[in-house]
Amino acid sequence: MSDHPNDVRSQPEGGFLRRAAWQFTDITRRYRTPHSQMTKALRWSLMALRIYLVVLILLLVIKFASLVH
Amino acid sequence: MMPETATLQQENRRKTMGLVPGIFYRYRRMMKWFGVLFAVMGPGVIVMIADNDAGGITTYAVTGATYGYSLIWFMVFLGWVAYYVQEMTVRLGAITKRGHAEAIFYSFGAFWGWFSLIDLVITDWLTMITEFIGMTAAMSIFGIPPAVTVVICWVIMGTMVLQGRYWTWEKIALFFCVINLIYIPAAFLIQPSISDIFHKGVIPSLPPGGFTGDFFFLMMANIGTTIAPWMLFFQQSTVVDKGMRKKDIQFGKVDTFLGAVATVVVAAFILIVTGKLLFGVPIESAADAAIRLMPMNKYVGTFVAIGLFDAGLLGAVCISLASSWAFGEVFGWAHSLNNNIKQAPWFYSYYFFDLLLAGTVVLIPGAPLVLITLFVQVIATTLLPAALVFLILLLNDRDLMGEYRNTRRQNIMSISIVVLIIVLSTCYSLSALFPDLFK
Repeated sequence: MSDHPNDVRSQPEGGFLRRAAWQFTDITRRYRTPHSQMTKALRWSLMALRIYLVVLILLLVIKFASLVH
Repeated sequence: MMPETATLQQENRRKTMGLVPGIFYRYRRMMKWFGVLFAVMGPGVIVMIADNDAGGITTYAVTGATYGYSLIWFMVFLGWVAYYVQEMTVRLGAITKRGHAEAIFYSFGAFWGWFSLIDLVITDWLTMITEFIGMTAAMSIFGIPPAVTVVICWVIMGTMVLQGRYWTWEKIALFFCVINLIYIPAAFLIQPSISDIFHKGVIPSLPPGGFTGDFFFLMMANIGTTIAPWMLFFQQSTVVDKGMRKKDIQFGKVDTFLGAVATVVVAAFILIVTGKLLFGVPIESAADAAIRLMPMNKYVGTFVAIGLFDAGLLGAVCISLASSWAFGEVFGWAHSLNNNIKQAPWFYSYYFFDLLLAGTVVLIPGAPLVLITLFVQVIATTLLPAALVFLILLLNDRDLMGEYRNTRRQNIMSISIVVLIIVLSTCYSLSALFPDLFK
């Protein structure tokens, strides 16, 4: 069982959206520093792959919407 | 004098025994090995059989009806590919003690972590909808209204997880895995020709008509249904939740291999059933196949319908757990099936939220369910390379994996699989966007 050590944390008071935003920024801060080294070439390749896949997905969503309508 | 290792001590002990005690000793060791295997077995078998979800069963049924036995060899190939990919998650989970989402966040940072998590959420939720589509379609054959089916599914899936023990959940899931094998007796009931199956299906060949656009599309659909992003997250999280350690990795590999064999067997038997009885008949889904099979053989039709429902149920449970585990790992919630609902409220809340949302979509009047099923498979296949690339990078991290990192041979195989899937998923997406492109 791998419960995160920070399961009980102090959170800001406020509504659901405020607490959700806080959690998002807290996680982003906690994992800000990667532990694996990635070369620049690898980073750019991953980004290119990611953009390529997102474009494909967007086209598929547009196609799906056009077929439904 | 160097102290003897445990293995050397055992070997020396065995050599000094007589014949009968030696045989008894070997027998006891073998039984102990099997005992550990059965204790560890679970994640691999469950993820592989759940891989034959509602969308998968539909794809296999359509493949059999369109091409008969011709692609049985291809199922064997895909089973091997799935084993290769899933085996990596066993090593990763057992060594890092982290789920896949947390491992990506930890190793590559928040930017790539959020991308992976968003991918998982989108594909999982969309795939959950197809599971409910399959389950409601299957139960409609027996006259059960979709709304009743959805509620029954919610109750079953809720009961499975709320008892507060991972081991109990696993045993229930394995029970549903056994039901998934119902296609085997269905195939035996129709008495197919073994010689035909061997010559047309087992020996690799292209079907009559050769490499057409439709054949390509169906091949890609089969690839997309065999390896899905959720499988990587699910198996790694179950390995962690089960508490598997380094010395359990060998058993985890056997577990995954047995699961791969079962998944290939189920796929092949579905091809045999529809290939023999529905060859040349245009069918849209597995439910459609079951309806057409009923007048031909009541039992075969019933078995196919039950199998479809079971496939959807197993798929839905595993997929929603994959998402819940991923969120729990990243957000720091208690996220184990060994926690009850009071101990892990957010983990179970997300699980039920996923189920409720997906089940509700299926009940929307006029929802284009067949179109949704088709596009969800394409989207899942398209996003698969992104998940696989991170898996390979993690398995090559020397600091993370130590002696369990990928060998050169494993890297060559894994990278080849990723490149192949990128090319094929591109073609798959393009063929969905431009249906006449490959005709």
